[in-house]
Amino acid sequence: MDGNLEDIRLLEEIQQGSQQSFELFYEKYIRFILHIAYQIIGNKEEAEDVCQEVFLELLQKSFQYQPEKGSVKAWLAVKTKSRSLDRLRKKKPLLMNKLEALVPEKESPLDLIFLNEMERHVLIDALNHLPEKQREAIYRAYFQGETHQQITKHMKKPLGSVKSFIRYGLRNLRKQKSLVKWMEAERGWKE
Amino acid sequence: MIHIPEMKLIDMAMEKIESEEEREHIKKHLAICPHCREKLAKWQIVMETETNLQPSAELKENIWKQASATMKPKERKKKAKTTVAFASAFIAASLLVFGLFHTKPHVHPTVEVAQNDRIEEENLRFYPETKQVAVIPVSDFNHIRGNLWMNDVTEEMLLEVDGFIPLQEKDYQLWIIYENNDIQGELLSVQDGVTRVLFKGPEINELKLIKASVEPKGGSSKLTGPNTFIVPLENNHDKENRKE
Repeated sequence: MDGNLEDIRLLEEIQQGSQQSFELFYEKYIRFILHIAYQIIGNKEEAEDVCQEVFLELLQKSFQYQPEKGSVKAWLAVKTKSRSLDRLRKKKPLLMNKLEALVPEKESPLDLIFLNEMERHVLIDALNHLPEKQREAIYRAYFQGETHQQITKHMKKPLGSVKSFIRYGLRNLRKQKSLVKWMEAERGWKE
Repeated sequence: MIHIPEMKLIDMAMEKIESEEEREHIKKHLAICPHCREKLAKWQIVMETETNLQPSAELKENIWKQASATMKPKERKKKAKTTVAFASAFIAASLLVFGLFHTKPHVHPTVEVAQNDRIEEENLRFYPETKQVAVIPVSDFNHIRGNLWMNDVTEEMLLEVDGFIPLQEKDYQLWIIYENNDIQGELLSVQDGVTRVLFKGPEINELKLIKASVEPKGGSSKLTGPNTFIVPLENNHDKENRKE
């Protein structure tokens, strides 16, 4: 844990106003934080805003760090995940962008990572304008982790119908996203 | 069942846990806990994925400007001392426990906490399984009123307390006390005398008490000031809803 003791020392020096220690700490971790934020949010500019929030938070609240729970690096990772999910909750177009990654042929394991840790009502709200069956099929497939076979069983519908619900649901999701973008543009970017 | 703190799982994903004993303890837990297994798997994916993202040139300067603007020299010194004291105490305690006595590594639970503006719209109060528990004001803080709504199914709790008087050189601090007597401290953010705190995570089922006290500015590592309110939780959990 030598590296961790070094991190704790840097945090202490930063709090005493050492810009040099800040730069060392920044160079050591900025790419790590940016990487996590970007994987969750999917937008570089927003991910950088999260980096800024995380750095400021840890500089102001480093007393909350508890070494027995894990390393400083792990603490940064948890904070970054939390702030990134907060951002998706607050900015609907960002969440809609992430949901667009649901298009099956584009989906990678990272696209939806941690999204299922968001409150169910936030996700349901984002899918709100979809017809009920499409919404249910998409929620089950992507946030409950059910297979098409399991969805078939739960929804008591044939496999072909389930696949159609998902396909049409995704198509509607893209239309909904365009609508949300247009509405947000009309009234300005919503915090 | 007490889950492994997410920070430990991240260290595990990064293969940064040096103690063989601790690694074994976590592995044993993972073998019986799908919740922690899933979390670990997600972090492994994140760590194994590579991106060539480079931060913007101005990001470092922006962060430093903001950070230095919000930290006055005196506060910086004071905070630093507190941090040194906390960190040294934790490290000393860890070395003592792991180095001298070789006891079983102790895994602490953690509950996620969001306050005031950081709380997304929540409907917790309207769910049928949600229970309401009144906040009990203590001694000189009889004007404090509040409630806590808890839902063991959604694993969320919302605390709303009104009647905080602004403090000059002190802060209100929240103490989250677990059944195994572990304690998690959080500074309370008070806006117009009111605070709202949302707690999330399976660990809420392991809580026995929440209380708040008046502490030195910036928070304290242990309770020193007078208590302001308490919320007993031990008998309010739905035992049948507890996750294995």
